[in-house]
Amino acid sequence: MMRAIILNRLFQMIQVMIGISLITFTVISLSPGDPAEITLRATLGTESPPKEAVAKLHEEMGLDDPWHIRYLKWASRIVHGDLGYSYQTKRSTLDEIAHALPVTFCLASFSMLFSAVIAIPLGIAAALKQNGLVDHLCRLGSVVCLSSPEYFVAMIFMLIGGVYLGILPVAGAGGIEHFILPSLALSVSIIAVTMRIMRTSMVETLEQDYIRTARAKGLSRKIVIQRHALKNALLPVLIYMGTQFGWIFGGAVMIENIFALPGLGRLLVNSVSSMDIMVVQGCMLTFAVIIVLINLFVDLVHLYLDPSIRSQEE
Amino acid sequence: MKRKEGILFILLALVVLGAGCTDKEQNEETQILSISGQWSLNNIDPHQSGYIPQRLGYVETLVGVDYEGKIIPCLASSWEVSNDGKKWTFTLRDGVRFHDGTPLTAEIMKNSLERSFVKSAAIFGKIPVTSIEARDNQTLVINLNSTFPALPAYLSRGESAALAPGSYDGNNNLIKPIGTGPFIFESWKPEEEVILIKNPDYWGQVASVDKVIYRITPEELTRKMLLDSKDIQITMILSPEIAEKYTEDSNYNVLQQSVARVRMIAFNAEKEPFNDKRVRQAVNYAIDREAIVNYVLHGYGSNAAGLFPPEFYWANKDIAPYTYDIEKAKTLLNEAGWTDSNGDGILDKNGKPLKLTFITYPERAELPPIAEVIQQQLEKVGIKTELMVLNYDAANSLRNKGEFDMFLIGRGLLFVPDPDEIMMTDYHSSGTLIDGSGAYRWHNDTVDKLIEQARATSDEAVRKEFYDEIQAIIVEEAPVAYLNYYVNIDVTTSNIKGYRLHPTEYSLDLQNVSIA
Repeated sequence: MMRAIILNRLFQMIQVMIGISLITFTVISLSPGDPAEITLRATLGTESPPKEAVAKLHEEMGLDDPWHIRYLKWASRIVHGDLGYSYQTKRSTLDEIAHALPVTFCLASFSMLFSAVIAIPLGIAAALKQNGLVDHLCRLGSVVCLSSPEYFVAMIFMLIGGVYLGILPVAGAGGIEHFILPSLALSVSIIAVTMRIMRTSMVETLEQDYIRTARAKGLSRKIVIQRHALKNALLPVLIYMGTQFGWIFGGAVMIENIFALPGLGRLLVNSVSSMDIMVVQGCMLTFAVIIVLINLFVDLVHLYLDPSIRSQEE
Repeated sequence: MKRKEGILFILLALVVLGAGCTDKEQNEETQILSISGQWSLNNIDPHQSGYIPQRLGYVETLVGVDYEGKIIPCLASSWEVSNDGKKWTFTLRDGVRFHDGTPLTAEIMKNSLERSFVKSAAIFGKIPVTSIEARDNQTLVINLNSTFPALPAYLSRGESAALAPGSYDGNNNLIKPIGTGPFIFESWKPEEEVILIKNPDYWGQVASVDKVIYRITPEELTRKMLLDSKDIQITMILSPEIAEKYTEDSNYNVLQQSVARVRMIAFNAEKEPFNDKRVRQAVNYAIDREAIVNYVLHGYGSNAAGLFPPEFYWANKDIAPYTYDIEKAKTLLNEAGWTDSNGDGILDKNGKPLKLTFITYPERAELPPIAEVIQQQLEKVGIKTELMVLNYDAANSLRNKGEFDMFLIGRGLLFVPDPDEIMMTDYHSSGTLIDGSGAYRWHNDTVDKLIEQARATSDEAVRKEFYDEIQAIIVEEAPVAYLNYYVNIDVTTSNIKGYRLHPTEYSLDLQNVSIA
């Protein structure tokens, strides 16, 4: 059963990878401009790089072939485990990604942690006293959070945490303290939604028959909530957060640029703007693999936590 | 009771924080200069990306560039060129040592140059070099197979830097850049930072600060906040609207410098109406350059008369700028046959209204607003323009196909600090008739001849005369309309002394910077 799911997902991953890489390749190939010229413009810092140099790089990049041939050539490299190299930095794609991935991974993990720690207790508190003060404040808070653009939130956090209070580094990479502001900024919209889901789910669970039974048995409210309600109410929240982990990787594109973090998102932006095709492809594949793996993980956790699915499938 | 505990806790926290601060101050006997810009060091090998290493000062080249954009001695204390212009002899400076102690010799310089010519063929491929020889310890000879007066300018590019033999391994791959500059390369994290320490044995002015941290920060607002939080002392390249806020504040200094990049309009000289010189001149007269600088650029920009900013050695300083003169513009347009015969406010000729396609691109954020202002200014003389803002590559491909009348561009002038390159690609018919970035399908025999004469001699003063004349003709013939020069704006905290902006962005000269 478990194995079937895993195999199924791995098979799915291959399909996703082919699809994603094909789309990325097509979009980049069809966008205006000669990638050789764009590369040299960026590396040499001039609008009109020497014609001979452009011609030479054009050949090196194999741009005379039609794009589908280039795609097939690229794909055959990938199959042999060669992700190519960056025309900008001359480093291998693998090096670039290996350098950037841990940064984004930390960022995403911290964001998840912050959203869990902040949103879950607030959601529960709101559910336990519906239409109370906490509930209203949470509702207001989540509307505000959801409607604030990421860029704006990031700047506000930077201003408060880094400039006015001066307790956290404004930007740049380094120790754990460098991840606090960007992770918070990234988690804001997730907190908003998680809080709402937690509340709804808790309210629903508290209305279930087994909760009433437990209460009728004479168990205290506290114990009923802790032992019976919480575990069941958390399930949709965990699933939501799991899927959001992938989304966070996407959100990292902007946050990393603002906070000057050398992560995957920044790498993607840089390589797209300089049409550094092999790195773009490498980044997209990494994103795809991560998202598929996370979904797999979420499914497995779901399976573990919710016995009803297990019995159904069996 | 609880409140008391809370207050106690806060006090305790403050004490701890305070202690942390004093600790920091004690450590600051080593002076650290932090500077941030958007440029990332692509590759650790200066022969492949030499711009940042050179600007930060851990590598140096045979020749340098002064604050007028003129070539001056650096690792070579002098040089001469043979009468036929094909043999350049460089005498190396005495007593220069690499950071690992190796003395700089002609043999090492030769190997280093040969390596850079291969690694950065995209830049140096234009040099018609046949061989490089080390005649003795101090003398380096570069043989060419044709005259190439811009050679020293090319050798001022950071990619031609002198690297010690210990910099690379047996496969010619770089291990660590060992240069000769006032700073020693210490470490690098891609997309993050470059760390340098001072070179106490430097042949020139020894640096005042002990350590330099260059932080790569792509977002301008983030650089501003780094400065506000005192994480850095110098932030490079802020936009006028942000820099403005510091001008009143005595804790900061705002520096500005015109650089070798001009905002200009290229006319499509191949077809009507701009195949007529009078119409090109009319547009030049119809543009209120002052208003553009004041209202779009917040005063940070200087009106352009000719190709180069007047601070530059190569600029013809006698060129009179086109004044803002609507009447003159109208007269010129009338002379060219454009009149408003049907009274709709738009000029026409043989029943065809004067409607033009005006293209620009948003990658340089100030260009579209400038284009909008020009659009309105031209309407006052009866020229109707349709403005198209496309991304650079799309805009450029329309340009190359000739599907435009006016093209607004921010054009970099000194790929190397020598006018030959820009003159050849942008104003010589061999460049304007193919895809240049300057004049479009414009051809002037006198200019062609003068450019060719200027590249046939290696005598700087003679070349300067040629280029002065060329610049004057270009302004008169007006295949382009120069608007204004780019201004770099850097902001430093007020305790930074000696920081100066370089007009060609050749070096930051951080060895001259001290922290008060």
